Amino acid sequence: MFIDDEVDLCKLVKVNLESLGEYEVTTVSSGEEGIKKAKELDFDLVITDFKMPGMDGEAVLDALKAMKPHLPVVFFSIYHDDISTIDTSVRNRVNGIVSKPIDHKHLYEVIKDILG
Amino acid sequence: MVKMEKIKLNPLTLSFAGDLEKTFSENYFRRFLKQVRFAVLTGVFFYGISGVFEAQINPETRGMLWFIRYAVVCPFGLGILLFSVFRLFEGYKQVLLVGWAVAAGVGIIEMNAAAPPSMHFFYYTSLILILIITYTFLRIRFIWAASAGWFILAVYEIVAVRFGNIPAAVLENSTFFFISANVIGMAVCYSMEFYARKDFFQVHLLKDRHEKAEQKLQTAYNEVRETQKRLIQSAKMAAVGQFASGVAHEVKNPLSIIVQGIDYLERESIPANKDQAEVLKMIKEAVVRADKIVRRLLDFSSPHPLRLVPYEVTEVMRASFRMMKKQLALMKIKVTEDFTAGLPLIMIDEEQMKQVFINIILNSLHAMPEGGEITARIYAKDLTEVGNGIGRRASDLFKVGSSVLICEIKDTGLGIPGDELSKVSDPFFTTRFSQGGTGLGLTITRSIVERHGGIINIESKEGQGTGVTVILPIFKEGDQGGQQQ
Repeated sequence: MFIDDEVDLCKLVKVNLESLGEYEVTTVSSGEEGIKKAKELDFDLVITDFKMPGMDGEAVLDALKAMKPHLPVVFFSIYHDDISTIDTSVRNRVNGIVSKPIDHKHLYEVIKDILG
Repeated sequence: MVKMEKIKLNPLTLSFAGDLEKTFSENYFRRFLKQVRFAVLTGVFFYGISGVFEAQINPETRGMLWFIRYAVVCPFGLGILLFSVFRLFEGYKQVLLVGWAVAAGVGIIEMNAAAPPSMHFFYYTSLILILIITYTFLRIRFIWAASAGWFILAVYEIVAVRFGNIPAAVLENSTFFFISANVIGMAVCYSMEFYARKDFFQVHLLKDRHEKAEQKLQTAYNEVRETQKRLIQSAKMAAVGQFASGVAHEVKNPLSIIVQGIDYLERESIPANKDQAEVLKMIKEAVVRADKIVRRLLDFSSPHPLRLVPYEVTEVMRASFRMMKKQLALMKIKVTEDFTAGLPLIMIDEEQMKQVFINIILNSLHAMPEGGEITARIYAKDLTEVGNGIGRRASDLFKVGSSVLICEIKDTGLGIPGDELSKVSDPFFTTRFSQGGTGLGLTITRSIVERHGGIINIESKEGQGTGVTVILPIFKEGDQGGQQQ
């Protein structure tokens, strides 16, 4: 599942990830929707933007881990958020942090590392 | 009520100590010049008019009398009046006025010796008038006036005894009155000069206190202005920083979309020709550049916290030059390293200090498109002179006498024009906009150095090169590594 408030980005990430042939991607545009979807379906991995209106990445992480502790979660956010804004305790609980926009290749590698 | 300092005067000469005497003399001269001129004019007039009356009383000795009056004393006085319009008069005033008073006095004594006894009272009165004028009206210094008065009296005694036909009783009487006139004249002259000096001293003291207070006020005002400037600059930077952060966050998603879109196009639609492939490549490179700008904006608006540990600055500098080795070689730039051995470890964030040096080296590189030379020096120094950020005030970053580490990077490049030098650290100021310059490099560099508690100074001469000096504090032993702002 890919959670990001930017709808066009969601569409492109879905197309690009699914073109690799190995993944089926569900996209939602808010943290609240993401939690709702996670309750209904079983995902192997959740990639979420860190800074979003409403429920942000950290709140999504807390909710998902409470619901499904073994579900891997990756933050996909801008340079700087990963180093200075995301607290150590949060960084220790998340399975990966990938900075956009340029680091999309790193995203693919992180997904491959987690899912195999 | 203002407490006045005690006036310090020589009790005999009434002189001030030091430079104050010169200032007083100039002031006294200017203040009483008109009075002195009037006194001399009055003296010449009465000395001259007296000759007319005495010629009627004593026509036999008219020739000698008139010679003294009209060929010596009156021309002398008029000469003084004429000379008084020149600046030089100030230096000769005392001598000339005393000389004129003595000449007038001795002239009267001569006339008295040649006159019949019936005229002596006339000359005694004239002599007393001369003493009065000498001690008061002419504003001669006390010591000079007293010397003149007693000299005149001495001449009178000598002439009266040797050449005069004055009975002893009359001589005794006249001597008594002349002595009294001298003593009273001295007392008056002394107190006049003393009080003139006291007034001057009090005015001078008040003026001095006023000037010192004005100076303190000016210094305080300047400090307030500087603080105000710094606060305004800080507020500006904070506002720009907030704006930059907002822009960076808003731009991140559109950039992400472009990158993902290019990914898709590269994969799904094979470019029809070389041009299309080239265009896709250009778009990707443009996004990389835009991302760099976003990163710089974020570095500027919310700097990474410092992780300070004791470190060798020379190692950081060497590592920075190693990272830039290829580019320096490509641009044919020779690097000379002059690092003092055995320098103390100082508390720095190694990565951020590397960024500082790399930024400076990059600027030097861009300033030498045809090649050149970079000289890097690192040494320790005890600050002995007041300068930019160095002083004795609480607000100064470094105190005079503190130990610092100095890191200098000088190039032989194009230099910075004088009107641009003050702006180089301003955010978004760049002369390399067309080459992708963001104008934030030096701003970020300065921010990192200042967060280390240091100062960065830039000196440059157009056509001769630029020198950047980073001054860092040497902390005492025992400082722990940790985070700073």
